Amino acid sequence: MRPTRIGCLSGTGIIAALLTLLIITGVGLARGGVLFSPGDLNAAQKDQALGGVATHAETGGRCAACHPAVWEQDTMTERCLVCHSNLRQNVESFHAVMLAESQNLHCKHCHTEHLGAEASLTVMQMERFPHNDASGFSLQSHQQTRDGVPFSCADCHGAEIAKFKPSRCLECHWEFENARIESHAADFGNDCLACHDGLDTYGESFEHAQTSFPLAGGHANTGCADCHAGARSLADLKTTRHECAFCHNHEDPHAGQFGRECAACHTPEGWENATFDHSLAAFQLTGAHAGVQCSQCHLNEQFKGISGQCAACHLDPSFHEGAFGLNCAGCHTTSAWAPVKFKQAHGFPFDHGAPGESSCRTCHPNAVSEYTCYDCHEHNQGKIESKHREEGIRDFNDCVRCHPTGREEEGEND
Amino acid sequence: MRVQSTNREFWYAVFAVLGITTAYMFVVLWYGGVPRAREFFGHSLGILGFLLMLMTETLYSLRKRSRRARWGRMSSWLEFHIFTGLVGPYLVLLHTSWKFNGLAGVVMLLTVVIVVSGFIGRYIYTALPRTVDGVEVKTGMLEAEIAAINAELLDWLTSHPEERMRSFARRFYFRSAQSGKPPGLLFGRSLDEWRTRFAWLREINKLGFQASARLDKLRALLQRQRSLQRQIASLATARRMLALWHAVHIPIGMALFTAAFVHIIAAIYYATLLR
Repeated sequence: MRPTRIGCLSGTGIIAALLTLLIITGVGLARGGVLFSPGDLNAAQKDQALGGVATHAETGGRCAACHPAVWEQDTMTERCLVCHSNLRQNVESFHAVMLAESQNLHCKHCHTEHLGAEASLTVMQMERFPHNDASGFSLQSHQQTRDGVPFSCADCHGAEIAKFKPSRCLECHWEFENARIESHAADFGNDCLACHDGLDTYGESFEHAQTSFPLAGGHANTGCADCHAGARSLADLKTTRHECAFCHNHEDPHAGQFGRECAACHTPEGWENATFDHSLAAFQLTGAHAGVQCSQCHLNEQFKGISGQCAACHLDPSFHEGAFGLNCAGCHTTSAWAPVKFKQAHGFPFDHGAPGESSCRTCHPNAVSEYTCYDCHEHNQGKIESKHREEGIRDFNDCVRCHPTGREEEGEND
Repeated sequence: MRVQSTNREFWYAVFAVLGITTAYMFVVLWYGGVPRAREFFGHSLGILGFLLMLMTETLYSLRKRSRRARWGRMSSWLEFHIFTGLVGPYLVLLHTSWKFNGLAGVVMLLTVVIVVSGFIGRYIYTALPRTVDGVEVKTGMLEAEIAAINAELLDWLTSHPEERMRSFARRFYFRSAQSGKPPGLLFGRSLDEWRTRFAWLREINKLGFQASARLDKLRALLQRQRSLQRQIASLATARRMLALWHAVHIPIGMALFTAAFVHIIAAIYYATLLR
């Protein structure tokens, strides 16, 4: 027949369970919480009894002497201080400073109980001691000295554990990296803890790329002090100004002409190969101007105050004889001087060919104030002379006077 | 008829224990000391170990007694029961951080006792011939199998007329047929089996390498015959011992789990007090 009841729920099983519960209850009633103690309490005798006991072991199974119940408001640390009230009396003592400054640091973090009657109550294992919580300086990078020996408190604090001289960092580090330390101290001062937290957050593992100012181009090889000159704290380092002029003001070749927006033309790769967007300026670089070197217009590194007039760069040709003033754009474009599109009133009909097909010099070979009709069409000089002399006309060199529009019949009535 | 005979669960447990030990050693090196029972790693070991032990205590028993749930073979459940019954206590042992104070120490002591008891129970259990479904094989079936083996032995002797072979077979046949007293047969069977195997090896060496290859079948037949004869001879004793073992093992287990539950409740309660 298949059994229906789970094996452990047999009569003997249930009796054994009840008997076990009975024994645990009995021991609990007789000896308090000793049955649940994870280890013996410290039994080292002290000169002076505190809280009615000379040793922790004397509290026996009275767990509540140190452990508050769940419904009680106080903490283990507060229960420690009920007996060890002297720890707070001297406000400059190590413990008073710890208790005052470190809300998350409790007695149990350094003084571990239940490790045995003979075990030390103070177990400041460097890797477990919350030095970071207590002081803001992590011991992560200070587990062992350079000789491979674990650090002791005295290595840094000397005889007084609550005190620390910032110069102690320099004394120790100078021994194995003196050149770097001397230079570093000269740049940033002697108060190492003002910047260093023991985690190398702002040390060798610091990544400048994670800040709002990545070190690109030429900045990558820059020394810290080149930008953070005079910094003495993390706040100083973090508030270093990002403007180029803050570091580069002594070398501005533009003499302030472009203000402080260096990045509008330059990149961290170098000052050369600047890429100024001339379209942002009043004078747009169109046509042939687009291929012109900056220095052709901006002589002597003068970038501002350059006249936008063509004459600032281009001499008025003698051919013009000053007849057109500064209004070059009246005839010319930025693409090239020729072809010319004469847009002003022209006394003589301007109907020869399409725009640009006829050069000014066709009629004005030397200057715009002179003209000649010879050698155009049938206007051969010899023919014109003989024809006019046949009509008894001697003064015929100013053709337009009698032929204002160039027609032959215009001179018949004179 | 297939009869269970492997110990693979034991080897799985050995591999698991070796893996856990390696991981534990890494943690010890990384942590710089033995991980404490109340910290994350130590607690995890305790919780996992306890869950495995709880599974050991309940799953096999439930499967054995369930009328509806018939998942898997009984032999597989027993293998799992043995695996968790070895690995769980080992995890609990590591959870102690090698401190055995108060109730936690009592729980660990009871754990060791229950594991040792489990080994003894397993040894008695394997003295009873069972099918892979855990059903005990009837005496008549064992006798029938012995008769079949004897017939095969006669065939073997017929096919091996050389006197030295027949003489060899006779010596070991009569060694197999010798029966001791039941308690000795039950608890000393492994020792007796190893003695027989050593004797076999000694004799084989005298016959030479070529002869040993021809004796493989004879060795298998005689080994099975020895086993069946022992089982028949110690059957009644094994049944009585198994019942007695149950009567002791179950109360120890119940005491262990009762103490373990109290320990867990106390640990949770005191952990909340560590403010």
